[in-house]
Amino acid sequence: MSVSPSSIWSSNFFILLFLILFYFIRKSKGYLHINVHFILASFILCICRLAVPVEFSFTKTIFFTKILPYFTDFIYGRHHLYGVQFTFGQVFIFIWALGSLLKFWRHIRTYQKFRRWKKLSAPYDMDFLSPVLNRLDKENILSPRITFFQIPAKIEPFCSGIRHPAIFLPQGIYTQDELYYIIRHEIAHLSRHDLILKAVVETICIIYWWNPLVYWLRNDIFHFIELSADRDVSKNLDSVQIVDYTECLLKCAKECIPFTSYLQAGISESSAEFIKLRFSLLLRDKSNETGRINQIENSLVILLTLVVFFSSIFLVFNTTNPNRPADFSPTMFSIGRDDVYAIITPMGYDVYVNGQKAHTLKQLPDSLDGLIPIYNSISEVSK
Amino acid sequence: MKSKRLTDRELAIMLILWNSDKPMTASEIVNKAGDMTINIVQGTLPRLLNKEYVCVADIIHINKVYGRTYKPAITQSEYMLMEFQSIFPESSRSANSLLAAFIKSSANQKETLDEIEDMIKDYRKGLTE
Repeated sequence: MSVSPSSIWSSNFFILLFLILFYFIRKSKGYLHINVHFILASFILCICRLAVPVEFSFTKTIFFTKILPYFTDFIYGRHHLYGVQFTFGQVFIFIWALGSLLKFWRHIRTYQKFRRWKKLSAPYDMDFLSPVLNRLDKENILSPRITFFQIPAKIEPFCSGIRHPAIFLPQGIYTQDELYYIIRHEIAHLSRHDLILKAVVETICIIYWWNPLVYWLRNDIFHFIELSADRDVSKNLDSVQIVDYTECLLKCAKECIPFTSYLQAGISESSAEFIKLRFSLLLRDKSNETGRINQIENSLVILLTLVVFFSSIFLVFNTTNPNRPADFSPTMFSIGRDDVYAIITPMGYDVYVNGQKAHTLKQLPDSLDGLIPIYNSISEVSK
Repeated sequence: MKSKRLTDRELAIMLILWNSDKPMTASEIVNKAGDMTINIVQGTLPRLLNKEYVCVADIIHINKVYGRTYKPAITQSEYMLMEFQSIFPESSRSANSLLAAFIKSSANQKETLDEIEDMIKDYRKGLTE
């Protein structure tokens, strides 16, 4: 198992492929019938792949002889500046690391400011909130660990805090019935550990800050976290209650400033496209949920995700250099998995390529250690 | 009004003023705070005046001298809203990347909300029929 530039950008390529295919699914008519939990799980798989961009011993390398070699030549080509030798790959890695550190520092500062800001919030008026909390408690939804605070009217309701969960509610805007639905939504986020997922996604964005795809992926994940919470709330509501819930969400969207951050899980949406999708999903006919067409599209999403995910594990892209030197000799070879091996001899090691003896080395370089199989004799090879 | 950053000491004094139902003198603030000396409070109050977070409410007679009373120039809610907007500026609030901005629909949010309001009304009508 190893991480290499090939495995990193191959993982990124497969994520791009997934996002492009998902974009077309999103445009299809059956999109509304897909289970949002499946879609969120698909996105989480993508995040996992980006978080662990390793290649395994069974990963197959696909060599590209066109376009890609010129790109790697540019990255790995050696240059000199004021007597210092460098490659653009090294410069990129330096900028990458610096960018990640700066982004991480910025996030730490934002977290500290947000924590200080949260401490300014006063506890919510319990006289007003008690009937709502009693109702939630009777339904076995409320956790005693959750505390409630009030915030200025224009800020959207949100939950925050992994170790000390708290729900922040604007004062003076919502009725008790509306607060019931808002708190149910926020409790759905807390019980699903959405804050941990958001923190992980943001960490991936810090690491891959240079890749615009991760922001696309992050936006979609944050949107689908909201849709999944809606799904959890609405599955136990009847049709009239669903309408009340959607009216409450609409009021939040109209009255409050939405904000999307990994530090909180809110209730509103700022993207017009997702606002429409959100309400369409809530108001869709429940009788369609178990229809055949629903199963086909759900299966398609699962299949697509698994194909892309496992392709990213089993395949990695690499280059061969088309610009071979004019005096290319048979002693120059690239290391593949099956065609190179070494046999121990009294002189050192005989290196074989495609069954032909290519070279004799007194000792194997450290870079080949563990990379090619070593045998004691020819007979061991045929076994 | 853009939020001007408050230090911990300045914020502590503001919290005391916000929680008081009347303007306070510097010595009253010291008594309430417990862990700040009169020099610290008197050094901090001019900074808060410059930042326009407090204003002089009155000049009153205290024993043999005159002293100022101070009151907050903005409410705690207003400060929290300003501070919130500075922590999460406009560009980060919608979590839209450049790429997402290219591919998302150009639907206006207000029009979308109006459309949804009609959708909900129709749905409710359908339930009652």
